[in-house]
Amino acid sequence: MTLLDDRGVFDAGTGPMLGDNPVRPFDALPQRSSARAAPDADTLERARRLHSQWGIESPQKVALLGILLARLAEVPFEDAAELLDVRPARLEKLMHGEEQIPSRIAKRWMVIAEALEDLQAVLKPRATARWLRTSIPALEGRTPLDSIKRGRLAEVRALTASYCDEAFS
Amino acid sequence: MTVLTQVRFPPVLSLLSQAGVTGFQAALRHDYPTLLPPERTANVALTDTAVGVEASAPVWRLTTEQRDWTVGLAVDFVSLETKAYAGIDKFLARLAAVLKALRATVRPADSLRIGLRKVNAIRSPDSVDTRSLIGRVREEMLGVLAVERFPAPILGAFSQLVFEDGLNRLVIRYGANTPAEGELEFIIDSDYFTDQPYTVDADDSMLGLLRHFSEGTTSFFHWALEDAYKNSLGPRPRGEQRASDDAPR
Repeated sequence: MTLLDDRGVFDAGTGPMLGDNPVRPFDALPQRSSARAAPDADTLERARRLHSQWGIESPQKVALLGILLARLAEVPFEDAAELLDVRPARLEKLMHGEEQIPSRIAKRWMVIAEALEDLQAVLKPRATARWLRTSIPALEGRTPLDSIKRGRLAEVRALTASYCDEAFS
Repeated sequence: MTVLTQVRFPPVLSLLSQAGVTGFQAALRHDYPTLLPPERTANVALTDTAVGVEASAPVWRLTTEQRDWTVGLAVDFVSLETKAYAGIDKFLARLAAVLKALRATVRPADSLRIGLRKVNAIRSPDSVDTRSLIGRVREEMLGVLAVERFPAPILGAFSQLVFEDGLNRLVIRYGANTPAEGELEFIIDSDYFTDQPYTVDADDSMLGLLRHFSEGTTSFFHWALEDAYKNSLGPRPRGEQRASDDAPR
């Protein structure tokens, strides 16, 4: 309950002035700025249908994607999509729950999430975008983004793990 | 004063579940560490033969430790609300962080509606007599509340004023309210909004629009008060008491 709803001044719909007045002398009030959800029935039905199609792992995969995207908040969206090995338009669908996240991708994402966790333990999140595009000798001069695209995720993971070892040595 | 901004966008199905909010929450956890239980509304479906109640969309709410700032996220909007408003600059700085997190983790389509709402409550010195608001609120705003004689006391009265500002609208709802027995207050509830589409991001276009909305609502609020009362509320050194302890809330 928020704002005047707390005070009981207005109801959620038309307000006491119009709601109690059978003559209704004015047009309905415009929609208010509020903190109440009002999705239409079609949206809820579509969500129910999609959720019923998904497997039981879906919430974990959706949460994993969310955590990854939070860690990639400072990274351009196109780079994030490239890192996650999906096209930007598809990534948007996955983010919106319009498409199921394949288990194959989720396994890969888990490793990327671990690498980002290691990385951000030693680097500020805003440095992630630059790090992804920095040529690194331990990756044979390739950038981490390029290495991951070439399927050398294990090498990148080992690299970020070594950052943590060095930080604590 | 309570201030709220809401940005509505086309529904994002993943936000119906807690898993879909995980990234947004992770991005804001530092400033809003508490995730409150979701608030749910119920849709009541009436047919010729039955009355059914179906669950509706949850509103996920994140708050600061002091619970004075609340971020709301639902399937079709994000909101930021505070009862600790201390100027539009601080408000927009917090909103920018929320929009940035939303952009990164949810990436909704262009906005359907952007609104800024400010609610001021001016307490009346007399808990029954609405005329005691004279001298605080302009008489044009008080209307019948300023009339000397009615056969019975006025318990409440609300009016609505709608201004057009290009593609934006400013709706002001104002009048007397009795929040509790023995209390009387005058509410000025300003809601400035647009239905024009904007990219949902922490960029200058949306934040600039909200600054414009804030200036408009403040301007009206200042006009609605009598000068002497307004001056008594003016800025003063920290720690110094206001002329009255019943300043607008």
